[in-house]
Amino acid sequence: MIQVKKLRIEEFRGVRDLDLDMGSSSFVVVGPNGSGKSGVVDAIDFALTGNVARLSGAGTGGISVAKHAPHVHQRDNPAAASVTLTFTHPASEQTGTLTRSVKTAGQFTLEPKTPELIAAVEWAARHPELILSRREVIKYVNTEPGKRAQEVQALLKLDRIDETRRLLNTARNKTSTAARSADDAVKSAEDAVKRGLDITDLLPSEVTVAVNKKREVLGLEPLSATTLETDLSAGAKTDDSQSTFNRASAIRDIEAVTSYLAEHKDLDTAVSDLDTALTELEADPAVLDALKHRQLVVAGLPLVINTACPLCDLEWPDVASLREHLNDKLVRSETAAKLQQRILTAAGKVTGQLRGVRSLIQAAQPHAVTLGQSALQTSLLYWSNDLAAFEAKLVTIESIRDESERITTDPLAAPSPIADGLKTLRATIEAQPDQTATEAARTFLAVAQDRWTQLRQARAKATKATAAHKVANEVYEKYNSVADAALTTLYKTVETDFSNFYRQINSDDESSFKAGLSPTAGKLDLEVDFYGLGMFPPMAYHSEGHQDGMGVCLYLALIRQLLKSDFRLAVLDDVVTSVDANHRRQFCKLLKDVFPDVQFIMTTHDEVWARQMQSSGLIARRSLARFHGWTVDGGPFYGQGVDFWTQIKTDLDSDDVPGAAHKLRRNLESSLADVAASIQGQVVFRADNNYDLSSFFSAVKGRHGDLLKKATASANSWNNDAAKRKVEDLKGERAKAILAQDEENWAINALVHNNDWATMTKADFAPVVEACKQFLELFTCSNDVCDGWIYVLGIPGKEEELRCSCGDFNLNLRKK
Amino acid sequence: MAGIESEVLKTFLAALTDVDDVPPQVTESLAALLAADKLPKPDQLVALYTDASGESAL
Repeated sequence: MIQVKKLRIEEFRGVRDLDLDMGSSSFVVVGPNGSGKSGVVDAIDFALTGNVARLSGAGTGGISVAKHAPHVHQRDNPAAASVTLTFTHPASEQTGTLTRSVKTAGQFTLEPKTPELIAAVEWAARHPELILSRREVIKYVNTEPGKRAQEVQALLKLDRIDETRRLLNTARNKTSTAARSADDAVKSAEDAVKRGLDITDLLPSEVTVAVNKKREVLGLEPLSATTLETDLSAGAKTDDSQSTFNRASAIRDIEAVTSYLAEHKDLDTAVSDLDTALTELEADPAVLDALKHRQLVVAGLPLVINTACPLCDLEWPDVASLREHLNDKLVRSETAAKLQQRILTAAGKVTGQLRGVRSLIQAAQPHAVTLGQSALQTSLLYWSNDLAAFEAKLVTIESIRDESERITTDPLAAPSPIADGLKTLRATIEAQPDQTATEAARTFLAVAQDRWTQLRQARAKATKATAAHKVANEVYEKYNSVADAALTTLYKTVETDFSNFYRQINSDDESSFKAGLSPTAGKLDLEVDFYGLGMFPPMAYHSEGHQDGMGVCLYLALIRQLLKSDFRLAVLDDVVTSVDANHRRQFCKLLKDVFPDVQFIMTTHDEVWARQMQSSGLIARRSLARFHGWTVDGGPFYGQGVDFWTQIKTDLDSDDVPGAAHKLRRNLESSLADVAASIQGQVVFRADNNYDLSSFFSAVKGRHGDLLKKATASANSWNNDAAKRKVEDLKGERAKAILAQDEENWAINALVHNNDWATMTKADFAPVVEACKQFLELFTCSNDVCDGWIYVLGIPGKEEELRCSCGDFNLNLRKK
Repeated sequence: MAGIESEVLKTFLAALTDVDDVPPQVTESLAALLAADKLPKPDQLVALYTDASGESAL
């Protein structure tokens, strides 16, 4: 969290040399277009992030901070362009000074360098969303759901959640593949044991019987039972008998490979399934194309907002036809996605079979070595490696399609010498002299034990792989459920806050407004109520001003969720330009009431809007900088904390009566409108909205008098002497102000009905100014820090208090 | 890490401790790996799950 205390800008953007004292409070920079206001926003942006959002991103090609952030006269001297920002860190109550030069934008100096302040600067650099322009506000509202989801996800920094989700899913898939592979290895090891023991079922009882027969030949103790930990050959080993070649077992190993080469139904079935799926894929180029472009269509469909296709710019007769076309593509690609899964599943089965063949080769190969068949041994090794390489290719649709010919013609692709070589090897083994019964039993047990050990290892590995997959699955599922629950809650809270904020701003005409924010599959639909007539996209019926209001409300709702108690600063660059004056007043109230601890730094070209911020108590008298008269060479002229009375005095001092008259009229119009609204003064309604000053004078004068009468009645009913004296004092001030105003009525009337003030002399006009000032002071809190308008709490007829926002001015209007 | 992501991670890790099939060392390691600036490679997680699961291969 961070708040801006002071800002110094040198040779940066349109500013040559500027100091603003923001005092860690809300602040407004007001001035006409082109007066340099945005330079302040850019400077804060640059100081905090080292970047200027306005000079980066879409549509800013060829523009850079390094080249274009310095004042145009210093464009070749980026070292001269710098921003110094003195900030407070509310949590630690520390103050730091941060300086950044355009020449070394990525670095900053900080004094003092305490851990808290360093962390605060680093935190702010990660939150460029603290600075918001109108262009950025509207993107949350006036955009398609897919884009909105991206924008909101980026603002809320939710990308990492999706990345984590993908990571955990990929890890889960890998453990699934590993578990399947381990299961295949177990099956191969089981087959090897069965061949070694010459049994058909791997039941412990069968193993025990087969092993004990050989143990009996060797005169060894029979095994009572066998487990994977049992040493089947215990006691059978002798120091002089190292050979583990068992003639019968070797023949069975060779027979297994030979038989598989001759007949492999399971492989044929898997290949057939794969071939069928591949044929379906190849038969329909549209499906294949849809599969390739599925991702593109998923991204493109939400972008359809007019008749031009967002993917290829092709014009369509109407939006509905274009949507239907893309939806058809998506349906076809969904079919293709299912086909993709079928292909991968069938390929997995083929791979499992090939793994089994490699296991058979692995069992047969040592016999070729033992009997000196080196050519066959080389061929078997080559074949095994070739099958492994082929398996590795059966993992993606593209590589599977590349291998389609081998899949359909000869997936085993056994080298030609293999079949004959195996036949020769078998004959060689059969031609070997019979082993003695003792030797045959001893080698039988040695082979059995070797394969028993391999089975134990394979099962242990499979158990581990299955457990790892279970863990991966639990981790992924848990993350998904937690993330989904958090996002649902988050969007619900944002939806509620957004609706509440917007209702508060538009309480006069949309007090029952509600919004619906629905996150679905990478999209974020936003629909809003339109005067109780249904839910529609924001841009369907609401005016631009209302959309602006929605944008700010949605931003505030989102950033409140993102930053929570760290939300202490927001820089709003001309964001509610098209919201009308009455709704801006409510907007001030929203910011002040809902975000009392947040420093809002705002820019506007509208003097009335700036005045409303002051009169509502959102910003204090000194928290206003007025920019004007910008020139390339000098930058903006500016004054901070100068109210319009001072400006009028400055005009009169230089004998500029027309200038002073214009300012007085303009500010009286806005001020009296504000006062009338604050104290609930009644003005005769005008359909053209052109109220004249006399209506406002009359309304606020009459209402003020009535409220003081109510305050007197209240003080009497409670017998509160202090309140009675207070009301009497106020009545005295009112009498003086009204008298002064009445004395100048001739001049005021001249202004009200025409612009005669502009032709007055300075001597005639000065008392008019003073009278108006005294009159407005009746409605202004005298506390310099507050300086806000007084207002009525309660509804007409049931008034509760007449007070200001700081509470210094406070009259009870309720009777006992 | 942003507040919401951090909250999701915190809640996720807390919830994971209640899952019997997930060994405590997996949760501890995930806490460090998923909170780092750069997310780990999937193979790192596979190794983590495998190392922490079941008996070691004989």
